[in-house]
Amino acid sequence: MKRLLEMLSPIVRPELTGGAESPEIDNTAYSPDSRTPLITGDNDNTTITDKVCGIVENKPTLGWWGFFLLAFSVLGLLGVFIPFLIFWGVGTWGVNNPVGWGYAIVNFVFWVGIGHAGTLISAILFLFRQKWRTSINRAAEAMTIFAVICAGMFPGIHVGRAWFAYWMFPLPNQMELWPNFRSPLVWDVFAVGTYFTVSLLFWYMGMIPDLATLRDRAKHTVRKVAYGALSLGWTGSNRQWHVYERSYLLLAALATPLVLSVHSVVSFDFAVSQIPGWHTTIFPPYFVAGAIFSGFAMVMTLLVPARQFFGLKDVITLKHLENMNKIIMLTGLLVGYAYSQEFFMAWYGGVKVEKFAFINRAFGQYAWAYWIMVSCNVLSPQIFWFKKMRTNIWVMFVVSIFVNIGMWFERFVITVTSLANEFTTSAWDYYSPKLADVMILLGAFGLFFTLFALFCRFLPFIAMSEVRGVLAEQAHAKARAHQQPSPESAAKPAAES
Amino acid sequence: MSSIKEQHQNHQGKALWRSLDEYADTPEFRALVEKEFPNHAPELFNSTSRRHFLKVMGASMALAGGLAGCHWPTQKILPHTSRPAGQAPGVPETYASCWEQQEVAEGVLVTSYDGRPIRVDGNGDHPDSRGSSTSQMQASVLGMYDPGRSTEPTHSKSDGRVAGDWDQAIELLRTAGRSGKVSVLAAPSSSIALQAMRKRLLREVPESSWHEWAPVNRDSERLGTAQVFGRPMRPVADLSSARVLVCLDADPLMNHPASLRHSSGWAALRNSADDDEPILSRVWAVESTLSVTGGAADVRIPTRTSDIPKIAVQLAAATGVSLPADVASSVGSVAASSDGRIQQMADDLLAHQGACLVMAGDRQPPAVHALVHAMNIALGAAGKVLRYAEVTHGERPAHIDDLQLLADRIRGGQVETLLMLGVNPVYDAPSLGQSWSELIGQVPHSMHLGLYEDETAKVCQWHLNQTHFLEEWGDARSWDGTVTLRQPLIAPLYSGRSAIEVVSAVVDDEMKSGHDIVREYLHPMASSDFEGSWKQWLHDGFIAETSNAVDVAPDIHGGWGAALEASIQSVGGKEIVFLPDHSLFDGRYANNGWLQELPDPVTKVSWDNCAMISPRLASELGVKNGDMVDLTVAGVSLAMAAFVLPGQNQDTIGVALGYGRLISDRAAGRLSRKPSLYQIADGVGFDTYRLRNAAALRAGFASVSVARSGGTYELATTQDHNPIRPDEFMGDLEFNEEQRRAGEYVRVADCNFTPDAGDVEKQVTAAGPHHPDLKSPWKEHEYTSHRWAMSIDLNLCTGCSACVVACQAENNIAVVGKDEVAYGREMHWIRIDRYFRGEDVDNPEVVHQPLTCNMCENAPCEQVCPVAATVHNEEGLNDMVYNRCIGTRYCSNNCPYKVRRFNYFNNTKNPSATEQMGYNPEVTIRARGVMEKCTYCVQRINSSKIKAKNEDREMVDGDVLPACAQSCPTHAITFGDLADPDSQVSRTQKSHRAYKMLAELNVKPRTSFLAKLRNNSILDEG
Amino acid sequence: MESQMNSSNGVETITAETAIDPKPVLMLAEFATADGLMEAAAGVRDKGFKLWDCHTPYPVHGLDAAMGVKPTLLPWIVLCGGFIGFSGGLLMQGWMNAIDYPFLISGKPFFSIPASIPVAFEMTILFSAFASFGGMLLLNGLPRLYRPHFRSDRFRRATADRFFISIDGRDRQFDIDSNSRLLQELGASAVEVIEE
Repeated sequence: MKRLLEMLSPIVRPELTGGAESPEIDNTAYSPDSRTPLITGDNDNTTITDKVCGIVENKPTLGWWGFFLLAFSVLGLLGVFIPFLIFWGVGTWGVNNPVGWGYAIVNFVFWVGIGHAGTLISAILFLFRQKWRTSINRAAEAMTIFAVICAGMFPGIHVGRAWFAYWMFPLPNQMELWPNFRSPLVWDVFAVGTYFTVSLLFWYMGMIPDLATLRDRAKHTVRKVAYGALSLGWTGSNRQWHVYERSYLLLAALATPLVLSVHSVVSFDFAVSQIPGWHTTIFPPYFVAGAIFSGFAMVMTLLVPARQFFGLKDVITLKHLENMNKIIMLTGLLVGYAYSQEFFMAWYGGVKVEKFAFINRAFGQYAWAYWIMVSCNVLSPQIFWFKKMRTNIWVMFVVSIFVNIGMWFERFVITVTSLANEFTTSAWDYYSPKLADVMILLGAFGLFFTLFALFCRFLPFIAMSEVRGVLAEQAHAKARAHQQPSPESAAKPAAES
Repeated sequence: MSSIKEQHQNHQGKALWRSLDEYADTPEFRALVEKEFPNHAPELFNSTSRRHFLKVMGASMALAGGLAGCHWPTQKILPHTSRPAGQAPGVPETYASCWEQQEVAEGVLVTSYDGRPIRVDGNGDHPDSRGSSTSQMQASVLGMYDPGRSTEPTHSKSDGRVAGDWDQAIELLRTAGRSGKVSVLAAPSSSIALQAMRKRLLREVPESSWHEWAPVNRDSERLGTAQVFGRPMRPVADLSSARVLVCLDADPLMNHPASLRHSSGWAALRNSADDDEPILSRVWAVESTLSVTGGAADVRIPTRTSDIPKIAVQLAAATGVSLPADVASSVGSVAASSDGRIQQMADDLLAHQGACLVMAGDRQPPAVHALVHAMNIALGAAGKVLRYAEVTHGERPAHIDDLQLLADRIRGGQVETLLMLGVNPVYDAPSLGQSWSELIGQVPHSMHLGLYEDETAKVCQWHLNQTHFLEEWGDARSWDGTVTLRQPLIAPLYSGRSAIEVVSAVVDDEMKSGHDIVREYLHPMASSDFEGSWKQWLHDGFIAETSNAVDVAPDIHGGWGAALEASIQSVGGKEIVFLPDHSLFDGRYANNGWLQELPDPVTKVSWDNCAMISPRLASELGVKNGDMVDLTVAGVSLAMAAFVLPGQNQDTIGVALGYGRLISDRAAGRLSRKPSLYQIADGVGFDTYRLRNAAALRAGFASVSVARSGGTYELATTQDHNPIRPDEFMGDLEFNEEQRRAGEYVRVADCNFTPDAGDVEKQVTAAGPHHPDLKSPWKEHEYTSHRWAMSIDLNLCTGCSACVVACQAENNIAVVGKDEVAYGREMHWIRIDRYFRGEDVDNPEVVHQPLTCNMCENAPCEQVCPVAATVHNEEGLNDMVYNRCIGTRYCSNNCPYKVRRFNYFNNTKNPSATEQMGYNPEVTIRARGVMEKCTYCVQRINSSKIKAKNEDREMVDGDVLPACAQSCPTHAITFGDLADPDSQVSRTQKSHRAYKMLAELNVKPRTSFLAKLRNNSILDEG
Repeated sequence: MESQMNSSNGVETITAETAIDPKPVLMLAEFATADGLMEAAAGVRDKGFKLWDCHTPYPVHGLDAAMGVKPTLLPWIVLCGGFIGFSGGLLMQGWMNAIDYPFLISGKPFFSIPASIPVAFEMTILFSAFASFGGMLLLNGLPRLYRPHFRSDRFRRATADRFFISIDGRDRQFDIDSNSRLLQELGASAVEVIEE
């Protein structure tokens, strides 16, 4: 590991990271008597504010430019291949009869899944009063928004007549034709639409105080106006904080069932159909677990380099990363359990076609895809049983990449293998992608990383106001440790301590 | 147009002709006709080669702006400039006409919209076709509108070919007639007019000769009957009275001029299991290559084609035919024969004397045919099952010998003018010393009449464009000799001339109109009132009581067995047999998109022919489907894609003829305006004629050496893309599952000559999966009006695929091309699944299952459609609303039968004018990105509803007949209203053989299947 | 905008240059720590001020109690939003698929509750979320881009690392001298008056 670190050290050269450097401090040791600090180094409100705002206020670093330009040029593929697709038809993809759904739907499910970690971190961990979320929730929520944007693109372009895709919405029209509300695809429209809207509100609302900070520090008029408008004239008034916190809590409470429902509904696309391999009751929980799994992996993929580049090692500490690794390992086990359950139910249910569907998955013409999926999703996270491994940033980074690959293949296996060999044997066929499939898959990543790069530059990367709260608590914790109860601690709700 | 104008005295078609005449002359129409096929743009994008990729990308970027502008294909209509009297626009009319192939006529009814023929169906009154049709008949209408046809006479100049005109050509023909030394090489025809003109030519034109050539012919039958009866006779079989049918390398149900007559006769003894006292026929097939008849047979014995004479002799000996002693001894007795089934076959025949029949195929030598006829007489088939008809121009020599005569004449310089009528020797005739292009080159004046400017046309000085049979007057005799009339449905699109017209220019010194010629030569057959009977003939399409078939068998000619011994030869090594293609026949339909895309009934390969080899030979050579093999016959070798065909005899390699055409370097000279896309035949498949030398033609097979040549070739199969793969890891997984499910999807009951209904029902239900009673958790919809339904009798389906093309013609289904088919994007609304049954891959049983939309009452496709583009109507039809469809393809995913078809590209983009003329105006053309599927021919349902309403009556059973049911030669498909308990479909769905496919899903399909019965119980006994 | 220091009471006065007849509209007191603010807030509360507020860079827990802020009625607004969303969702599906344009789909009833739950549920969440966010803006009087506070440069740190108490000029007890004295006693590190 050390040698790998040295080998890769050029990546974090100061001229790339804009000199932002911060030491790696291991705060993962567990001690029963004192809570280990979530924010390391001697940070106070001032340093945190300077550090986070600095990312936005300083000149973009070489590293940022390199990343941004790379992502943007990959995004260009969409500009080429989507017109190509819309003009000539979905035949430019590899889809056929019987495999009517190919990469497009695989990518759709993949990206929707990615989004889930963001909401989970920001909403569910918030409800559970998990303070460690504060350092990462802003970036994770941003990731959610961008992932859902990528996902939302696919249903639009995958239909045969993309210019009529809007017919899936219940819009009044001359013929008084309405969507068919029995179709899971219509449920998708509502689920994903709602998910995007609510995530956006949640994200933006959380940013208002930080935008106000940027407004108050802004030197340039444009920034003054932009951040001034975005922060809606926030003054940090306590009467506003009061309503604001209640509203934030409610949104979190709403986002929690929402995030669970969204991937359940997405899984209905498959579960509601009657294709062996799709028609499975385990899908909703299985998909949600997989979504969180893949989402956390993507957060990891984004944050490990980000904290490096922006010198945020003391804000996004090893403890944060370790906690996420624990969740990755847990959800990885859940997903593995779901895989095994599918086989058990296929055997136990005694439906011959279903039994075949699963045996064929593992040993049929797509066995290669299945075993990539299993080794990436079930095997690779097992390394996190070892603390040494789950606190090593290089290991966690590599594993997160594996999990991303594995989860894409999970959707591929579910979608394609089931369709390729279902009921009527005479219609069995093999699906293989064409150029356009691959290029649009890449392009979506380009879109995702471009948006993320812009977010890093122009919006507060860390939820400063919440981190300040955490700092205050750490201070009080220290105070309590020295048996000097502060007046504030008396007023603190029980849940806090 | 002159020929048309002269027809005005014939008031039968007068009005119609005038209107056609008028719009056929407008320059707009001509311009349209010269426009190109646009359909192939999509094919460009299947190759991801860099060049294509750049081209596409460039195009897409350039056009990205106007995306919204280009959804719907623009359609030009061809208006009636003046409405003819007595014709309502948009009301289809049908005319009787005649379709001729292998010198045998089938009566057809042609449906014509506003003067545009759009369908060719069988003529129900005709004794032979009986209302059904073959895939080739169905597709012939596309053949007429084919923009690849030659549009004008051309002749060769020093600087390549240039356009000529008919006046010059006619002048040349007349001079030839006067100066003599005319040799005609004609496609054999039973046309009375043509035969009479042949006689006149030989009589009146000095030093002239007449030769006939057809690469696929029935010479051995003709010569064999001549051996046994003294003169050639044509066996007219009535299979409906043949309880036992033995086919020695014969394919009476498919590759036979009388296949329609045979099919309906065979069917009569197959669905009888539902009657009170059920009887069933038994078909024995002894053949080397799995044929359609072989697939339908109850017992099939794969063997070498070259061994069949021996088996024939053994059979004859066992059925008490007195044979020459030496022959009998040379083959030994049946008891000695390795295969006990031959004895069983003989016993079957003897047990059903007078109700049995033996047939020999045209690959068998004449002696075998002679033997077979002797056998039929000994078995008492003659007169009961078999009648004998005269053969037109029977005295002619074997075609190959006839060619030899012509070649000698040419070499001897006795041919001044060579006139070729609808033949293509350069492509399909074996070289006799010299190749045919060389021979033709030696003739001072060579003229070629044909539909296409084909291989032969290119080496001739003159090519004359021929009329399609829908454009010309003519006549021909059907299998039983009935004189059948041909009348034009439309003025010649390209001012072509028919064969009789061209010959008349030679013999009459002026080109008479076909109309006059036919009337002239048929005059003797008329009663006193010629006009009256002429009208009657045209109305019926044939001349009644003109069959020349007789019941009594002619006396057996002494010494018929002389040639027998010579024909019994034991050839070692591998043999190759050449079969007429199920779609392209001898190659004449190679430019017909419908037929090219039609999957072969046996191999399911479309757009190609392939070397059919047995699984055993495949593992010997170590080849899989699509691997290239080298076939070498007498020094000539051909590399060809192999196809592993279960049931293929292991020493025999079967190859289809008719592919590998080269008719399209029209780019030369001024004709380059036609892009080669017109000639869709080009480069498709492998030219197997190269291997078929004269010896092979005479023997019916050839010794071949086969070796793996390395390299693979993509075969566009529409089913089991890899049926057998023992060598692959877990390869058997899917194969075994396919085997298991085949038993559920296509159910077969084994029985004997008198199947017991109860036993059959037990077998049929036992075959299905066990599932609980089907109850829906919700209150289901109740249907109050019609409840349309279909049942398909697997016991009658031979897999001939006529329904597939009929559906394509009726519903304007697009041709997508080989690459798209290979991707699994074929558009056929009805597909015929071919399943192999049984463990023995060397001789499996074959079952065909036509599969189309099952019209499930609880249709799974409907609830998943987000925009309700597919919904149920009140009559239980699963309607597909094209203009609401946005193309999510979810319905297709959720369809357990996979019968939905998606327009991945714009398959009907700017159809050429001629294509548009061929479309059925009752059916929408589907745009790109839209799902489509079988509609039970809803347009026919509605039009017959309207008809019933106009006639102020209730609809009765049989009012509605979908295209597939109409075309089916065995009437395997019945359609009707379940609300009417007495309707045929209600009865068939109650049959003890009836079952619903995948009923366990509670989708409640409206289509039922009737289990197949296989009369092979004898094998268990024996 | 000019500002001058009043040496007598140590109050810095910031006057808008646009003002013709400048009147004090706001008094700002800066505190270094949250604890300091907390004590001061309690003091101000006990003096019975009405139109006053605290400004903190993060929600300081216990400050509500110290200020005596009453619970908000936001939850009730959200509840209404949710109810509208759910019933609206069900009604929309029923009307569209069973009344306005009924389809015969897969032989199933035109309308049934189970198939309508997913959409109805999502609508519930969507409308509740709108209510929650909209209600927050409404109750907080946002957006309101200009506030007198923004005239103070010190106040810029209210969103970073400083804590403020503001007393509105319209408060009945508003009086520069007494109030500033009070705040200074309560430990304000600086007191400013905004005039407009």
